[in-house]
Amino acid sequence: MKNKIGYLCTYVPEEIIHAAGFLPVRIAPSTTPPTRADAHLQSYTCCLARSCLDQALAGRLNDLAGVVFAHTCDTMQGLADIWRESFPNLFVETVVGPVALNSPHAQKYLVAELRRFVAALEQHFDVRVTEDALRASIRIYNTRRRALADFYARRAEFSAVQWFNVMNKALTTPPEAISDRRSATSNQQSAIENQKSKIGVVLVGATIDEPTLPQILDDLGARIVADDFCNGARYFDTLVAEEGDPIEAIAARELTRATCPCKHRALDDRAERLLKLVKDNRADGVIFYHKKFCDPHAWDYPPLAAALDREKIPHLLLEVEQVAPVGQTRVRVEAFLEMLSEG
Amino acid sequence: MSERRYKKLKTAPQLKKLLEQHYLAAKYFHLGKPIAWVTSGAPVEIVRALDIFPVYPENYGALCGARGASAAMCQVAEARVYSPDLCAYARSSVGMMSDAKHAPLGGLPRPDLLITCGNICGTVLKWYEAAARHYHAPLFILDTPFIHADDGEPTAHAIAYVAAQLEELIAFLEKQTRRKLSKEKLLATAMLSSEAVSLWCDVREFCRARPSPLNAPDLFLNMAPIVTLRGTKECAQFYRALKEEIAERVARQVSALPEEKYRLVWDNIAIWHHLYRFYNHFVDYGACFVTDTYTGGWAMRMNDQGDPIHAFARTYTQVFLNQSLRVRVRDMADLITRFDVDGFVMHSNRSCKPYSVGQYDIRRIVTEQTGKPGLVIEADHSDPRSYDDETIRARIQTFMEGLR
Ligand code: SF4
Ligand code: SF4
Repeated sequence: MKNKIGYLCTYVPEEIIHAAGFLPVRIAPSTTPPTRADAHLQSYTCCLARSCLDQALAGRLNDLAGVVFAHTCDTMQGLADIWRESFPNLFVETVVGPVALNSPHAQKYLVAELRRFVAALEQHFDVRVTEDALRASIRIYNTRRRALADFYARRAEFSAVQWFNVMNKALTTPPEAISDRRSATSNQQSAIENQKSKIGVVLVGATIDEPTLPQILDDLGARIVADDFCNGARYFDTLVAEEGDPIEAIAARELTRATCPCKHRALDDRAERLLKLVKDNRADGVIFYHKKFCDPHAWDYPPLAAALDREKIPHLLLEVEQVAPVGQTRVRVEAFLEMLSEG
Repeated sequence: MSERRYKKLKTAPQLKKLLEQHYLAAKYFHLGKPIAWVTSGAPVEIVRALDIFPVYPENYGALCGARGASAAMCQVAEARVYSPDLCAYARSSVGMMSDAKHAPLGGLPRPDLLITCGNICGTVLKWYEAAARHYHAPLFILDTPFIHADDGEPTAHAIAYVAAQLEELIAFLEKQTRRKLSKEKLLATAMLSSEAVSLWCDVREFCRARPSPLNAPDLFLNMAPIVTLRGTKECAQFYRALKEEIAERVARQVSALPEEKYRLVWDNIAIWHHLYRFYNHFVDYGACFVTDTYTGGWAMRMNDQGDPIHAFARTYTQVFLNQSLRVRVRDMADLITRFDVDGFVMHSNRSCKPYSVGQYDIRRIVTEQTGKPGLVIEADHSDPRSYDDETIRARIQTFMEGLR
């Protein structure tokens, strides 16, 4: 029996999938231009949706027993249904979490929705998701999140590419493989002090899926001091409580972790968090690393940029289709870093 | 600008007056009523029952499109670093916020309150957040979980969640207006709303007649009061007059087109900026859009049985843009059979992702199920800058020749 279940967005409750006996793995866009997805997704949808579907249509995800979506943006919502039509025998489910995270009723609703998801898994695969198994999974994933946070606290010792590799490996390997900082960085060559790195930047975006930008930052001697990616710090910044009802605890984490722009908790919480990231980490500037056609992040850019402007924090917007064009990105990042070092 | 090439409605002046009055009242004569900006899918009956004046930025977006003002308004937003890939209704609205002077009708009145309901898309959340920042107006988010179920039924917990938020919305509005909601008034408003909606449903059903008494642009234009005025007496009155006129057309076998040779279904929002020009390309072939998936989107009916809050929760969660691809396939196939059409045309609308993502699959499945061909046209509902009339005409020609 296939034992992996894929997901695209970190709002998918991996502890539940794990407790059902599956290994949740993140499906990430590849660097190959999509071809098969064009028959299903318009040219004005983001590369994340198009590349992930393309890989599935090419048969490269055939080892998955299912794919689980989380309700986020309009493209993802449509993609979930397209996926279901394309693979009628596959377990395809969407956890429709709340958008209004600040609603006093959001927790109760999400708990019920998570229980529905548990029941769907149990029914489809004829398994039982016990409370004990959930608790054990929560502990395992918390351990991994703590290890990543610990690694993160010392990321000054690593290059941007190493940071990228650690984060991207984490979400596709068994959670037990990363239990402390050492195991998080096990596949990295010696963690040499990154001597040249003087300028610190904060990266903001949906996801980061290929190392062009980190490589450029390394080449130019800049450091990533913090990030706001779905597959970056937002993934491990909050733990699930290990006491009490496990489903309630999982729901509570979803409502309190750093907000994705598809969700609403307060009008300016993303701006406040970004300013705090810049200050706490003494960053020199911010790079928005956005995907073309990604509405939620495009919507948040003007207010975030305005908040940074008010604080006189320099920022740069890079909008990328699938793979950042090396030459052009390098020129723009270089000019930005020069400006920062003069500033 | 092209002219329409099919029959005008006698009720057209009435419609024009109704909408003009609405915008005038919104701007000048709301008589001290607080102004709420609301989304097309928001439960406006609650708003009206509390004597709050609702204004519809989406309808304003369509108006900007129809008046050829969208591109300029969008450019204002783009200069303020809003991406040109965002929904053009929202973009022109953001443009209007910062440059009302140059906007049609001098812009929308400033909101005292903002109510956004996620049952149509994710854009309206972000759009209303932008408005809340701009106007410093309080924002209420009504979160209506998307329904992925094949049968289109919301889960019990989703209904309970929406119902709880509706209670909260009422409390929020009561606090803002320092008024108490009267349940009688709410029910009366809901009944007026239902009446208009069911009259509108009847009008749409009349188009099953051969020849069809209406073509799609008639449907688009006449839908406006359902969106912006449902729950008012004037609205119900207008639809009574419209229904009478259409009933008469059907009785006398009056056709919307000079000659109806083909019958088609339309999918997605209208192409406002080329409303006549675009649909005239079909009139050239004697093709009439007898129905569509869009203007029926407000075809929800309330009833006076049971708890009204519960009925609102269900009705507003089940709107068609909050439904899965399978429900959309089912609805399209149903229109194809009931309206006895020859094919369907889908507007792949780069502004509106929730409506458009999935259309390619819907087309394939619907054609498999019904045997009717479908054409997809890439355009935008209000931003004309990506509209290419030549390419579009060529595609229409190929499709229509295939139907012969
Ligand atoms: S949030 Fe953005 S990147 Fe993620 S699926 Fe939606 S559009 Fe694509
Ligand atoms: S994205 Fe679509 S549903 Fe949403 S406001 Fe724009 S046109 Fe309307």
